[in-house]
Amino acid sequence: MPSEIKNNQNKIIAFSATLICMILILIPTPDLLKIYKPDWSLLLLIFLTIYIPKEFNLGMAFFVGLLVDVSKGSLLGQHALASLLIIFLVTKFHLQLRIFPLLQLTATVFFLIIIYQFILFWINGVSGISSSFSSYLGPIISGTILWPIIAKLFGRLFIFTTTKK
Amino acid sequence: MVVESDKHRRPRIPALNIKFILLLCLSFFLLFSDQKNNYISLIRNSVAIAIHPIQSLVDFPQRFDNWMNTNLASREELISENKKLYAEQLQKELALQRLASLEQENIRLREILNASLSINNSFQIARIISTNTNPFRHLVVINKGEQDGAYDGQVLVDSNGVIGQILQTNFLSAKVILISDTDHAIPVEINRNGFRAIAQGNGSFESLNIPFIPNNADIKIGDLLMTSGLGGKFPNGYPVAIVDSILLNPTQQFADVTAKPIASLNQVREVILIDSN
Repeated sequence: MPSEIKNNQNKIIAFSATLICMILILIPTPDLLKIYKPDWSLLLLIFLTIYIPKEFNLGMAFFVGLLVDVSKGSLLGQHALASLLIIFLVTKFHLQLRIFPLLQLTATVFFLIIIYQFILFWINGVSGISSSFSSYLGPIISGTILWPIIAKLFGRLFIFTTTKK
Repeated sequence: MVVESDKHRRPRIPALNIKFILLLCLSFFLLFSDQKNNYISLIRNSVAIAIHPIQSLVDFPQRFDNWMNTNLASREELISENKKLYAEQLQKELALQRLASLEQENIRLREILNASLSINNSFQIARIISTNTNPFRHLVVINKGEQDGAYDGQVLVDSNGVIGQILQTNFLSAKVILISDTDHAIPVEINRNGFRAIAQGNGSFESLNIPFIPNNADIKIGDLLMTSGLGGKFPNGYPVAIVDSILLNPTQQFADVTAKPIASLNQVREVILIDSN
């Protein structure tokens, strides 16, 4: 019974986090910071997958990716594919990631964002959309800087729920 | 025994691998079909409807600010604005008087030339609700969609000149590609002499490339470029840009010409949708 309540609570938190994340993606940023706009959706997905992988895994990653695709106007399926691959890795190793110290986790997230940006870059290249190299670098830097803050702030919100019944 | 305890320690998320492969195939399918053709606009549409409330929510502070400005203006401000508008209106009326006679003359001349006259009468005003999509593509979203009669390829102008065209119409909103996007080109002609050219976006709001202008072409800095209507997408006669630099290179076949868009592409908020059907 209590685990059910916990699950519901987690679902509510996950839903509102997704909503806030979409707002962050859509909100206009000043030109100066445009390049450094982090991949909010990816950070959110990694975070939630580590904490509540049962409610939040591949299906959600795909869906959120599609939302990002439509709101950014990119090729449909581009962000979906990239976040799908990253979240697959995170789901596979979420138990290891949970016990990582913060610094190590941040390093891991850094590499995950690099892979994510590389997939976006690759799909853009294949489909012939030109874009500058710095546009891929910015989110990597800002995402890595933001990760420890997000992890510390929202980590407190979550009660660890193991995946077993 | 080891296996047993291992089972307890590492509980599986059901059917992870199968789900992964299925979704992977699905996203590849989406990518290919989106790249090659427009089968999947239905999916895009339905996702766009899901996002629409969030977009309106993000847009809310701006609307609230507008509302405050219109409702809470002081009396003096209103009076001075009224005066200014009145003076402006007088000027416009004066210009309009001449326009009427010019229009008559134009129609007569066209009758002589046996050419058809197309005047676009029907238009509606739309608001840009989200501009910051991808910093390297100049796409914006407006608040008019299929429901309001917008259609793919419809042309947008502001009070000064052409802004872009609708790339994709959703039910409640539409995505617009600006003339400054790197994937966009617009057929133009020089207002002074009718010289035809193409204005390509180059990713900057402040300039358009005019490629393939021969070195000896009659083009000057300050020339006004109007839509020529030749591509069939844009109606003719709307101002697009003003030529602001011409670099002649005798070793090259073509000159490097750039023009500055007349419409303020990154400042405008209200746009006009022209219905050319």
